[in-house]
Amino acid sequence: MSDFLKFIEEDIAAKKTLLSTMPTKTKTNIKKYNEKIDLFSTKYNEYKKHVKTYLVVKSKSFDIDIPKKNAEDLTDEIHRLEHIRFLLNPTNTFFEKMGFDNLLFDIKNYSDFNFEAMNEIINEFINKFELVGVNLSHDDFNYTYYVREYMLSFLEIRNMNTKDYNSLSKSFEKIYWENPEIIEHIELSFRKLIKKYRKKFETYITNLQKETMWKNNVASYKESTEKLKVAYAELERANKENISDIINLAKRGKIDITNFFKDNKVRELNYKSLMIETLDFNDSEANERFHKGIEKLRTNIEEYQKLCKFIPVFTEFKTAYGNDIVESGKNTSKGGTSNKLKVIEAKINDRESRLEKINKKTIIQEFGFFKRSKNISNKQQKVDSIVLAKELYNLYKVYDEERFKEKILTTVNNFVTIPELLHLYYSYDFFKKKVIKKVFKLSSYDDILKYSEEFDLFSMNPNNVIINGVSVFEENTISKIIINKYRLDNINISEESLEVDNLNTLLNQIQFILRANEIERSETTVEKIWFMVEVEKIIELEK
Amino acid sequence: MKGEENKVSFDLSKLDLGELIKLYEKITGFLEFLSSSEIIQKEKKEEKNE
Repeated sequence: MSDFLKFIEEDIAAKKTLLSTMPTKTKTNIKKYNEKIDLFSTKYNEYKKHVKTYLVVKSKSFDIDIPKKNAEDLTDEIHRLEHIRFLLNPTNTFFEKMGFDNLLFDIKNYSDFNFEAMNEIINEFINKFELVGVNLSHDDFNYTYYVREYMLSFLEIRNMNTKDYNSLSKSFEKIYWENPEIIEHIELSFRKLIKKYRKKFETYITNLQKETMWKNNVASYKESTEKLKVAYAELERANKENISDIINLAKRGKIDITNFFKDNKVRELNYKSLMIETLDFNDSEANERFHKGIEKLRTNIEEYQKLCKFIPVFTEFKTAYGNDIVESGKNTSKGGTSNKLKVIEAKINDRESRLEKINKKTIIQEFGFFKRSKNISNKQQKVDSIVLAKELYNLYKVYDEERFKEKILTTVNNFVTIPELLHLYYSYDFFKKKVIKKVFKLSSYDDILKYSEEFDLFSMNPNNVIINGVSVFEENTISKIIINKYRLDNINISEESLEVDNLNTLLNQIQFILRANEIERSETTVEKIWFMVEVEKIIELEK
Repeated sequence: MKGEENKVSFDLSKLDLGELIKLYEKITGFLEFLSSSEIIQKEKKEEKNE
């Protein structure tokens, strides 16, 4: 029997006819009828078993397993290089490199955390001091009477290594109702201590930079970015979808492989929508040029999509600092902000020294030999200290803003490009999160972190291309630049397809074409993949 | 018919991929038909027993 399918079709028809003509009215008839059915079932189960085995073996023979390059190792390498770049970043200071700006953002947003997490932030601050050899005691926390009281209990718990912060809640509650700004005062306390031990932190970072450079054989910040560029490109190559990935996607039902048949309407539409002139698939040169163009287009569109997402950040930057940047460009002397900073610094020092005097008196009266003289003046001192601390809190706020503004005015001009601005915000975690929170109107801390991580990934990517020459202050013409560039490669992109809401559709079309081409270039065919998918369904169905 | 079935050889190599899947579907479809036919008989048996 050469055509087994034909035999089966004819055999089934014959057997169905036979069964339909069999009498089933008497018990004997029914018995004979059922015996026939059993006989046919046995035979056909045998056929099924043989055919299934054949299908599975054949399907396996079509499978292609291309082992992926170790993307994990490459990712680790990128993390290592990113850490080096972070440490060597010439834009920021020890404050950001120690992660104090990150903690500052957290403590300023303490209402987003639970009690335990809030104490963990305080613990993180103390850890950073220990890293540079400073073991803080409750005597260091004399910013206000209340800070001292809370930190005394906190350090007692911390020194027990239990991390059982819940036992602090009573002490916290007692202080909180007297002074609801206690967390802000703890923050101020740390800021003063950071100032006090500034030299130690700077030396620590300098030594860490030297050690990291020596250990990793990296001579400069520039070298670390160049090495990162290579590592990113390698990771991109390793993660590139290959035919084995496409087969697996089809088997798992993630893509409909029938759309990839040459006469399929979806395939035809996807190609047509991205072509200016119909491509002659037999013209290998034109074919290759078109698909290489599509591959580059995907990278560009992914970058463009990230750019579009963070445009509100750039707009906010222009609104907040645009005028100052223009004014600063006109002035040759750039001392304005520096002077302002010095004035604020002097004010902070003055208020802090006044506060220290008040606190000394209060603490001595409260805990010292003159305990008996605790009276109205002591209460007044506590009120005075809270008023001063409030003023200081606002002064530090202005100081931070001015410090960031000074950085902007000394590094940024009218021609600042998108990558330069991305790098600036990447270097100042506090201001990056602050602007993200504002422009995207985020209320959840997790959402801020998610956006912030996405922003960092975008800004750190050394292989960004389309944003490189784009000025923040000029009208955004990137979409037109993309359209014109790809016309040269016979690739048709409409302005409409580059609208933010349509970018995912465009990316899906691009991905479809890249997959179709990958199948075309591979040793397999759409038919074989379809067959493997069907066999996979059979196996799954019988599990 | 019995003699003919015994002669059947499983030469599936001549079938293309689509035909192979079609063949499997024909076989499983017929098995389902047989199974449902048998169930009808069982129901009749049950009715009689009642």
